[in-house]
Amino acid sequence: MSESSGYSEDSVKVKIDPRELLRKLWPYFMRQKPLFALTLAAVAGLAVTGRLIPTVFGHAVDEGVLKNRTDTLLGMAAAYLGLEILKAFMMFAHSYLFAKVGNRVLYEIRDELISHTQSLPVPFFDKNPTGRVVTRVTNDVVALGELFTQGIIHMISNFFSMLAIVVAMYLISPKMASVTLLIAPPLVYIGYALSGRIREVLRESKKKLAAINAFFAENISGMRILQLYRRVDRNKARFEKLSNDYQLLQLRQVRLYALLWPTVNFFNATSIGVALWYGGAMTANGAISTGAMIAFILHVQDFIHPLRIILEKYQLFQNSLSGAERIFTLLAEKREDDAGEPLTAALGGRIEFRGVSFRYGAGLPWALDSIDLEIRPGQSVALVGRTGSGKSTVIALLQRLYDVENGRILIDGRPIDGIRRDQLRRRIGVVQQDTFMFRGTIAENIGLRDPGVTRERIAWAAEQACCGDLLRRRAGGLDAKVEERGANLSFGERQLIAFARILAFDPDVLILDEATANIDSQSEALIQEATRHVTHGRTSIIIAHRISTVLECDLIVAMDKGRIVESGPHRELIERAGAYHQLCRSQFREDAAAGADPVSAS
Amino acid sequence: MLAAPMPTATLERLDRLPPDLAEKPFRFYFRRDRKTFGLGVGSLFFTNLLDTLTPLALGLAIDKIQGKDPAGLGRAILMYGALMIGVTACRYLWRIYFGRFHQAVADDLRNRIFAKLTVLGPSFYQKNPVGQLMSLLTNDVNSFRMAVGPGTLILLDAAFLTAMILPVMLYVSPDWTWKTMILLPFVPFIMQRMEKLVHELYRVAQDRLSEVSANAQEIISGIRVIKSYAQENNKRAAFNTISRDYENAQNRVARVDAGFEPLMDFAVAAGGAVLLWACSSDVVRGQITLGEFFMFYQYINKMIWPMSAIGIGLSMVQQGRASFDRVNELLGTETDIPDEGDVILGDFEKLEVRGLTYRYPGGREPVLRDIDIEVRAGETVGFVGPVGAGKSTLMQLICRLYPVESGKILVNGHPLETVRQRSLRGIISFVTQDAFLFSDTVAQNVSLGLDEFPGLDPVRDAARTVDIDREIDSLPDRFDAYLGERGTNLSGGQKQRLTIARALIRRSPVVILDDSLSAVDGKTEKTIVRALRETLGSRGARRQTTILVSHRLATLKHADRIFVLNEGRIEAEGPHGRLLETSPTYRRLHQLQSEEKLSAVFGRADDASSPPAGEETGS
Repeated sequence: MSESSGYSEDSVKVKIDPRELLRKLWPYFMRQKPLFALTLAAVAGLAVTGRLIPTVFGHAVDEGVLKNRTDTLLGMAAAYLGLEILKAFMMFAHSYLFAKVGNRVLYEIRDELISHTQSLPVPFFDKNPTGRVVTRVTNDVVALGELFTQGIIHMISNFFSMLAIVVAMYLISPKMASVTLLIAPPLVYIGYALSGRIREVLRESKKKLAAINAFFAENISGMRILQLYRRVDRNKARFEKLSNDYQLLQLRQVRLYALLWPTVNFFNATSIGVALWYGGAMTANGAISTGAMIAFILHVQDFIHPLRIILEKYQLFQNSLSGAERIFTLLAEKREDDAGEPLTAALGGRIEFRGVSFRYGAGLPWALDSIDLEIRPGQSVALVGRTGSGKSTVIALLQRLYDVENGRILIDGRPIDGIRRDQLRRRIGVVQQDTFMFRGTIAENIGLRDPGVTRERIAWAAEQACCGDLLRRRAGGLDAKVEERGANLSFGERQLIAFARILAFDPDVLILDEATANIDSQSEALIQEATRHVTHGRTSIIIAHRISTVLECDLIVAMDKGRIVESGPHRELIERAGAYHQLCRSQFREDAAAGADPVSAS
Repeated sequence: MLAAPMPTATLERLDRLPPDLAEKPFRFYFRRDRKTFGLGVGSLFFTNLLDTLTPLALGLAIDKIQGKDPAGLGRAILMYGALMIGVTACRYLWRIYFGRFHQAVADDLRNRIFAKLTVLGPSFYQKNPVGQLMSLLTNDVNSFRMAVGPGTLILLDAAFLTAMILPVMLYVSPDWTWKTMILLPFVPFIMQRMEKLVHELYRVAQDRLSEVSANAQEIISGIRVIKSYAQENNKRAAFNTISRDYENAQNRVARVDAGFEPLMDFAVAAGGAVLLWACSSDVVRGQITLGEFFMFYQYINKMIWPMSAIGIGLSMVQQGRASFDRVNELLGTETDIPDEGDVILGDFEKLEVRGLTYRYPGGREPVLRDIDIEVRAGETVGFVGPVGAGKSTLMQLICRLYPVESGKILVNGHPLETVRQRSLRGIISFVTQDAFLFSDTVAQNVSLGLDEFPGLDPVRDAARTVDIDREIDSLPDRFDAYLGERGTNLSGGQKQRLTIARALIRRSPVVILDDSLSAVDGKTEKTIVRALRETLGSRGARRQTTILVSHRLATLKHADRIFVLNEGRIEAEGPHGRLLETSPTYRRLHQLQSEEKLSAVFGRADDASSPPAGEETGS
């Protein structure tokens, strides 16, 4: 298989560099001002206590050790211990407080993500698999959190530590500090250059790893094919090659690190050597005390740790940006607009399609091509046609999941793009083929915990939708538990609950996508009865898969390739023996071939 | 002699697990890569040794400064410099050798995992979802690598340093040593307790996170319902309650986690305060030099790392062990379809199934019972029956994807287990129900089962046979079009046709189509079936054998014989015409699919005004 076989990353539209990320996150942090300020205070406190400790030690040398004064030493020991306690406390405080700030920021980002996602137009969900969107809200936010608690805070606090070290050195002796720090520029340069290269290698190896993973996942899924088609040995060799490529990159990284850290250490040792030599001379001529020189050396020794952390975290930072990029790409997706007039009264239910054309994207074939259709209030209409004939599109347009390209759709004479989407959808109820159930109770699935739906109404709706039997079969009745996706309910039971949901919310127009799945005959009868209850007196549009349904509808609309080929009452169309007749026969024959028995439904 | 060289024993079969790897994985790799590992440990040892000596040089320098001895100071600084050069060189070396060592371990383990997976059959994959195996390859291999490399290194580092620093400290002053180091033995102890606590809290936080995830999942999968009923705010509030719980759990983790570093740091650094206090009497007595005092202080600070390293190293090794146990479980899995036969098949003569009964591992009821079938070269045989009748299972057994347990399957008279798998799979091309294609070009996918790419013409021929060549030519890159998530997405029917082309291009004597035309519309199907008969029939002397499994009787109508399977048994056998008379199941299927039945329904249109039967009870 060709080399380009690889891992498919989600498309990322928002590119972010570290500075941009900080800019985007800043407002979130500003919302936690007091806590954030406290964190920064702890950071500063840590940097200062960190420097006071060597200073105390130097002082102890001068005043205690060299002057043989026990009492001073004891005092210094107490001060030293006090400072260590303070430092430990500051260390704890700065990481804990920052984690707290960070967790709150993450909470807010999650909130924003979920509410933004809910406001995205339906086509977004057609294009993006559920798992991918969930990953944005969970894993990507977790990765961002790691960036906070393991990256940003350490970079900030170690930057302050380094700053404090430089200040402390200058306070002891500006001359000595300047001489010692002459080493710093080349050190920082080498560190920067090497970590730049490390970052590149890291990025490369991340890609290679992704390639291994993708190859591995695909080969596992298709292992049977590989075995049957004698492809195993060749793919094994390819896997070994991929694994080896990755190993080589990892080794490049090892070599770079092997250069970086020992070099950084060596530079530090050099500056200690310089400090000793120069400080020795200064001590000799009495410019500084021995204790001060010792303190100076301790400061220089402490320089390496923060430098190392900053370099390390910076790489991590660079490599963890992709999660943030994906988060902000999702947040940049365009929301569904909520323009339009609110609905003040119930819909009468007269629906007109006037020359409606629609396609799912520029350049794609027309999904609907100049549709003209009129449905009178209270009428029930069956849409029939093959898969892809445009039935579902008609329904999606009516709910304003998409907007029409040409022509217009009117309800009660009002163009629907002038009506607010949420209100329109609330008045047009839909029962999908596979109805969605939430975790919770049956009552919650009927009333959706909407404060406007009373318990009485739920009970009434359940009764109307023939849920009586199913409630009696379960302990708790309406309060019986519903598992994730309704796994503990049969397909037929989920249908009935969905009907109850519709009745509880009492929409003016009903859309029903009839289930094609096999349902046992008892549920089938219940569903048919419930269907009659929900369609009764309501304008209804049904995507019909059963002949019995077709027979009961007032009007039948036969569709093919995005056009209405025939419409009229069933009997009339059959007598005409035209397109509908043929279409019906082939559609219901396909169902028979798939194992369903369309006829037994009647 | 022209015989190909037999694979030699030196070529290790990676799918077989060496017993010492299974039992002592660390030792196995230490021994296998003893050179790199040994060099790594050696360089680490010298790094530590030289590093331990540096405070001596620093102390000496301080004493020379104090004694106003510039020449002595110069020598001390040079000594310090020389030590640091040595440390730098040794550090470089251990990084290189250890890096090589543990990367090679990861590579080896990855290859073993993949090799193992290639010999396991579908019964394994049914029990082990892809996600779990992926986690083995990524997380567990990495965690074991970290244990065998960095984890081991850290522990050795800690051991070496402790063993070197402590004697020097004791040499300088036993009294100071015990006073300043007294807190240290508690450090690993406390660390471990804290680590356990963090782990528990972390698990709670992970559970909360899964709830956040489950809730988000539900919102997003149910988005259509939420939108239809305008429940966005409602759902958002519920989500935030759970999200808040997670935040609180995270904060609890952070509270303990933030205590780690300061506590450890303090335990050691408090030694500094102790030193200032302890030394006071010695200082007064003038028993120590300033240099010794400074040196001792440096050693105290040097002990911080080994103490924390023990905790870090141990937990890395522990995690690596747990990970290896998981990997080991996979590597130790015996395949149920071992390739141990050595019969190489010649021309296909006949396939026999004798008294075959099969139940899936763990299944209660057999899915196939007492199956007896014989298929001779050149025949076209059909299988039909309701969903769950056992048709696919039978086909998979014939291709030895599952082991035969009771009864026999023979090819040319040889039981399947005695036939070399390569030879069997060279004779049979099996087109499975799920049309699985790889993320690769169309041409590569079609030629998957050939030992090398045959060039475009045979690929095109095969595509023409299944009537997909024109559709491929309309793709932007034609036969080089890339399939899969990042490339072209084909329809179900197109995928199915490509998988058939993939089988046909191999020109194997037997072709099995397991319901491989279900997503192809009736007209195209007819074209394909006709083309199959023509191309397959025109192969000169070689007689093509075809086994067709289908729901559609139209596909099977022209088969020489059709077997009707129902509930795991063969209910009837014979050509189409005879089955219509003898088999009720077949007849029912035929009726369901025939046009007359539908016409009868539409005929009822005349009295559609009266409700259909069974609906009188309605309101």
